[in-house]
Amino acid sequence: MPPLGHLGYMLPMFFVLLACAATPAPVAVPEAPPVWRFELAADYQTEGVDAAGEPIAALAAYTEQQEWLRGSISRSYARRYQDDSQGWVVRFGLVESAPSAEGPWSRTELSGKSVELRGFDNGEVLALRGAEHLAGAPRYGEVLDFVFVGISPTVPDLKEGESGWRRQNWPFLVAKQRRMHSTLHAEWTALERSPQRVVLGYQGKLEGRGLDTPAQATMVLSGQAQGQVVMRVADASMEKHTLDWTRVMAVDYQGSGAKVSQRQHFVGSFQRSAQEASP
Amino acid sequence: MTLLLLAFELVFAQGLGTRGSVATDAEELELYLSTPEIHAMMMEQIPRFEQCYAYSSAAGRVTVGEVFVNFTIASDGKAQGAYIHATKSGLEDLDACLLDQANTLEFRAHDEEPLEVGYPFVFMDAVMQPYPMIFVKERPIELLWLRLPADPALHQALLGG
Repeated sequence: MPPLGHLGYMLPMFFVLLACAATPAPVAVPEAPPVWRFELAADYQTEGVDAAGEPIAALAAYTEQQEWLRGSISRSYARRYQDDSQGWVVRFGLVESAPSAEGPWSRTELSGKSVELRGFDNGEVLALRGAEHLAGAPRYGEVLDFVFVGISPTVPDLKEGESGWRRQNWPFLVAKQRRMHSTLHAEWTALERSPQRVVLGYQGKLEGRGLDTPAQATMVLSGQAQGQVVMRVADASMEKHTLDWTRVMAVDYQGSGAKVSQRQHFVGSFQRSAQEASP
Repeated sequence: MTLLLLAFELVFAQGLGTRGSVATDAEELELYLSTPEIHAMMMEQIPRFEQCYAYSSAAGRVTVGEVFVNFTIASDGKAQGAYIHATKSGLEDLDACLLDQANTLEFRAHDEEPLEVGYPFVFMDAVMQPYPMIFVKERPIELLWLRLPADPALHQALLGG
């Protein structure tokens, strides 16, 4: 029996356990999951040719489309992965669309859908799990995938007036053989900085590549993005993001020989709501 | 001992996350219902259907056949709208009993739209034979990456075949 009795055994064990307890970095879990309200104006210009180079007649009805979208989106902490990345449940609240800014508004099937966004604290997105529930008509989650960047931008730490480059990647996987990887390379400038908030502007280019094996298609994405982000200093949370993004999705259908190009233009904002989502 | 318990509490509080999440890297977060999960939940609740066969058997009607029942799993996880898709029982009261029971099934809440599900109740000599699969109507995801509607003519022009 050691001189300290049972304490002689327990003290070293206590310190070992204490060390284990300190191993995972504390997770900054907000008291209540944040909610952002968003409003977007979208227009889509589509053109395509068949294998003979002739315009695709079936596309004629869809060459010019416009829609307005509004809704809410929340983000709740779910778990930490072994590589120290984190899982967040991103859930759409009621999402409505309209053919014009005046309406009439109708509920879209994106309402109530959720994905697990796996990423790092700095905003880098590694994976979206459950994205197949958002994809395809009439949900178009793969077209609107920029909303995940919209609420989770990769923002550099800059002093007022400073500029810096950041690259943000995000994938959208419907299945292993149906995936798209997009990147935003942007130059950020800190426009204002106070102890409470930082206002940053960005401008950059969009790039991406993907494949859709069941459709025998490959995709190439290009475009430009600009916007302004207001970050809260206290908890590094995003207060507001206004954006103007244009991307061109060029799809090459090897099976039919058709080639389609769609210009997707989005203007709008994400604004942190005073109303929080239920934990 | 108090210190030891405190240390254990610290380990659990940080290691498992403050929301009590114990999901491993590979696990799904149960946002949606998968087909194997629906089948497993169906198997757990299958005993409630056996009374329908027991009643039929007790009435002296030995049955061999199949009743294919469709129902919908609402977003709150409750089954509703059960109907007979096809029946070879020849017994209306047996079919009605299966429908009544199907409408009492409970799965779990999920984020999808209501799911249409089909399950064949197969029985032999009034004993139900659990069916190894369940049929879940899948949402078609055809043209991706473009904001284009589900238009068959468009699909034909782009996808060919």
